Amino acid sequence: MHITLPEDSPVALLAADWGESRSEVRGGAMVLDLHTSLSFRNVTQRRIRGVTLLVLAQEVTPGGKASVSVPSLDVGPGEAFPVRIDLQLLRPLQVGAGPLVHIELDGVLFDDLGFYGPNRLNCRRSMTIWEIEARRDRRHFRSILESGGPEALQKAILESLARQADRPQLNVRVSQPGRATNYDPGREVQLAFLDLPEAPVRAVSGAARLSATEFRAPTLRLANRSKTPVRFVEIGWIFRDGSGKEVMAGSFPAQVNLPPGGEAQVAQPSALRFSHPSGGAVQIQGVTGFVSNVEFADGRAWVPSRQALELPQLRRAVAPSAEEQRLIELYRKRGLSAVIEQLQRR
Amino acid sequence: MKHPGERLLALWSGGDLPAWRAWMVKRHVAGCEACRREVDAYRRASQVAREMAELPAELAWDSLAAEMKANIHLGLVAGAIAAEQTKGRVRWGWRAAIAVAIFTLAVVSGWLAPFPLSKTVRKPPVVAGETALEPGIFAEATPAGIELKGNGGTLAVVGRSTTVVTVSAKSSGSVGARFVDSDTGQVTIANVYME
Repeated sequence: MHITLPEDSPVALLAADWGESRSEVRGGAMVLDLHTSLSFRNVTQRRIRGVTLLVLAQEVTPGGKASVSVPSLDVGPGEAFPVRIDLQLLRPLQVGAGPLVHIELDGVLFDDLGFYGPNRLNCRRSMTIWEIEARRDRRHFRSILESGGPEALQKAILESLARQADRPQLNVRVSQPGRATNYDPGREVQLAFLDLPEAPVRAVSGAARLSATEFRAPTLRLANRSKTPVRFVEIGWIFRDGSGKEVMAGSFPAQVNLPPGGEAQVAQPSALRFSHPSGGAVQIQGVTGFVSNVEFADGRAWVPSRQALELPQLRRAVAPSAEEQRLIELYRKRGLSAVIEQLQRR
Repeated sequence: MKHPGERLLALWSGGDLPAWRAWMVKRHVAGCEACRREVDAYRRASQVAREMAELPAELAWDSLAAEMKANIHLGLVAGAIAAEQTKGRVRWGWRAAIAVAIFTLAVVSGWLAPFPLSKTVRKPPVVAGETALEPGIFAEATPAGIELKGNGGTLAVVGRSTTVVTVSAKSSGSVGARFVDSDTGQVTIANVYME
């Protein structure tokens, strides 16, 4: 295994523990079971909020390329932080000499939302969105603490825990275009959208093919209602099954070129196919889309506010942010005082 | 008549002996049918290895050859040192010669081992379980993590050794899993790319 950091990298590798990592031959391929703990140091004078590593066994076929991101960091100058890699990747048996796995730095996000890195995986956008969500959620819990005290904060955390436990989930399979995934061609449906008035982009209309188990080839018309050009929009999909349960099970990321007030049509030929985690049949009855995040041409990003996420449909279906999950885990492991200390620190 | 031995014949056939020793071996081979046949066999094997069509095009032959020669020369130096240390007890340094031969064999085997022996072994890249995954391969996000499936085979890419709390699938062709380290509370997001 080989770790590559650029010469001017803002992080330096302190240690690499390959732990229980091993490789195993299966048929004509090699399965790489990676369990690695890397330790990095922030060698800049800025605070680091997120890091993404590209983990590459081979580029060509599925199962050979992955990334590992650590959002919600708060690493000061000179401080160290760990990145754990627990993945299984595939690689052809015979690809010549050299390391089995390459690990490269794809990006680092700083607290001023500045970015460093080759950004091969578009991690800049993802990390910026995670950071904006993190700030939104810290602000939300901090305001609850300030207005209602520790008891109110505890109540909000317990509600979040309960919501996570109740959130239904589905197995979702992503199939690439041109591959037959279902004999049932489904029916053409017009898509419904949850309009968030605060969102800078509105989904005007859309259509897709929908069967009981598959959602395929969505086509959308998007309108930019902000005063800033938009270059990326992600639409979240909430699916309703036969029992009326709603679950967010997939999204449609779209590169766009939307000038202020402009409209654009985007399409994606791939399919999402559903099955029940317990193995039972899924009967998808309907689908609703909503704008889950937007990236402006100047690199700024938008995410729904906490008020928008309180809408019943989103409240039931949308997963908590990475930061909310971190705070909840902190509460579970170390109690309310640890969460309060975190909220007051940054 | 004393024959030069396999090691010297192999090195001479590849032009890898110092001049004085090469001259000695050449003189012997010129008058020894058995050693000439041995040398011819080495040269044919070397030629076949170079002509193997399925060797990767990007292989850096020159650098590999240079590395191999360097290792052989290192072996010779090591042999010379060992011979020096045992001078007086063993005249020709046979132990060193054996060590060099083993070392050379290890280098050559290690060098050749990664290469396939036929085109059929080299051809197809991806397998899960015991079955080759060709066009029917797909990634699936489950509450337990990310699985790669196809033709009846399954590989748990993420989630085998971690507790995944959230999974997501993007129709652009990637699936992601988020998990929280129970010791540090650190959130990690792993994505697997299908495109």
